[in-house]
Amino acid sequence: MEKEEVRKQIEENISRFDKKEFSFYFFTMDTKGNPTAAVSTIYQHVKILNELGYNATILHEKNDYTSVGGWLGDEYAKLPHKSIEAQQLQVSPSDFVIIPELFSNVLEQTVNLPCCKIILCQSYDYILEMLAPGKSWSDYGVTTCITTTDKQKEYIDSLFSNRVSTKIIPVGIPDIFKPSEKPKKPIIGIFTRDQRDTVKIFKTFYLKYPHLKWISFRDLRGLPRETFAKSLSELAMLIWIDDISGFGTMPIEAMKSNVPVLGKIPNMVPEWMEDKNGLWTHDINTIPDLTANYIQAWLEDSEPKEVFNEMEKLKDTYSEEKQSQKIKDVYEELITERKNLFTSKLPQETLVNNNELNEEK
Amino acid sequence: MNITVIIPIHKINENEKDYFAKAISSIDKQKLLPKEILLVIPKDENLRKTIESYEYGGNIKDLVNIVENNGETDFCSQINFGVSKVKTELFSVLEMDDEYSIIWFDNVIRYIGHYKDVDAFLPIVLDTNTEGNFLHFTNEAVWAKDFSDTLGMLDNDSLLNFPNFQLSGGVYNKETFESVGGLKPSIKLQFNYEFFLRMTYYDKKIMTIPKLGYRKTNMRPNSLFYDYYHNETKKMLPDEARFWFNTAKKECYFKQDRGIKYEENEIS
Repeated sequence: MEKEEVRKQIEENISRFDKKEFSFYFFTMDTKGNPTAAVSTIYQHVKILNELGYNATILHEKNDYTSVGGWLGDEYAKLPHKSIEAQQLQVSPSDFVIIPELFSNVLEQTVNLPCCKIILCQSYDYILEMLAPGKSWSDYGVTTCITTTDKQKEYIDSLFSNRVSTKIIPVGIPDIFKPSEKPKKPIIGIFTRDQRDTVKIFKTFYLKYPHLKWISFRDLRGLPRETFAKSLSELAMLIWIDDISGFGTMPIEAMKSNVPVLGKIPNMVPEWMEDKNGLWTHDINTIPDLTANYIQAWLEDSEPKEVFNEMEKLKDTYSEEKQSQKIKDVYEELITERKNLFTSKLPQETLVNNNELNEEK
Repeated sequence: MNITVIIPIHKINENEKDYFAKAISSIDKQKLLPKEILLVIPKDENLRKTIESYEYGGNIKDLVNIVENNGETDFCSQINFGVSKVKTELFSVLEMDDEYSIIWFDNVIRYIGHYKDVDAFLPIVLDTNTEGNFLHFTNEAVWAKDFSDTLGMLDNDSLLNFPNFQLSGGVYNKETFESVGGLKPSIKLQFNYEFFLRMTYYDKKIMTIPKLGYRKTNMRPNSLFYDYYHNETKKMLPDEARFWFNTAKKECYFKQDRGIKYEENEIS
């Protein structure tokens, strides 16, 4: 009778897949209202999965989770949310819990959950941050990862010696990132992972090029998404320094807004980065000089046209449509794999039952 | 293009012919040409002959018209006279020793399309010495953070704190220019400043297009400002310079030129 119950449970789980009665839970950090690209990607996954008719929920740790409505918009704030603290979470074997790479520590807490756990890795540099020395994701029962680029996949495959199956869902840049209708302004946008670099760059620029002191630098941190998109589109150029970038969302957003990017080449060269689709350097100390050269050219309408032509080619590469399609494909693949796993257990169970029955005889 | 270029010419000596040639050539090289080029000269047969005998480039040959001003021929009067002869909606002033950059009118048209309520578009001026070496920019300050209420726009409050703006090279709406009274010939040294103060006082919108649109040669011998500093008979002493600066601030409320005169020992 117990074995029959197990069989029944497996069949119930398979049936849940067919009826879309299972859930995706996306563990998400509380941004405290600060715009965070990685979190917006998580919300995008949740939004698309809900649109596809799945139950996808943002899972947060505390009850006093700060809504993302202020910077990401109401459309995202209204997506289903659940709090761990409120003990709202009940997972079944047919459910999926998706955990950002930074929260490897959560893996230990969730090791006994009967569901499928998946790592969502957007920044390769954080993978080892919370993992205990010598420990792998697979030690916590995680054998599947979703990342955003081929290069990150290569890194993950190499790091975990192919014990983790990695799938790719690229970042999608929404159409709110578009060229400004008005002519651009003599303003330089700047984003640096380390804020001291921002200060160092503009101070050097003003010191070496005092006749350009009237050119403003605009720090692009902390702006609500739509304000950020509008602000970005007005710029003459964007300076981007992010050594540990996994994908490089901001430069793509800038290029889609027809704003050329001057950047330091990150440790992991982004897949979209090519010689001529931006102004790239290995040396952060050259950035003030390159900025002055570009601004001088901008003032004379003699910017390198080739950069703009190359940027144009990237415009539609990372569209939300492509991302949505990939989200659909990848999660459906995961569901099928999970369902197949349950299905594969059925005959085994039957076989085991028969053997056991024979032994009893 | 619905713009007339006004070039006020007082005289052209041998040394100045090269400047004039460059100024004219800078119009010829524009991607978009003006509708008319008005050379405003005083009544002077020799000057007329010199101007007429000049070989204007093929693009602009048919655009040049010479108009004689029989009245006062100071810089401001020449401009006002030129404006009165303008048949287009917009006009620009090109000094005969300066140059437009080749991108200027192209940008003016682009910006007019986006800022339809602006009455005057100033270029960023690249100021050089007579050797052609870069000195500084002018008109760029409006793009500095917190300079004015609206980035890129010149307003009255910011002008009161920072007077250094340059009229030449700018593109002005003829009707607006005349509605505020044009330039005031009686204001020495600070006629630019007084004009911009008056424009902004009467809520006219002035914007600097953030592109290098005009190249200005500073302190060319025998030029107006050179004489203020170096010509013994026309030299302006600090007291008088201060007087005109303060006068500009006071006179900007009046549209008409009230014929202000400087008298030594006057307390302004």
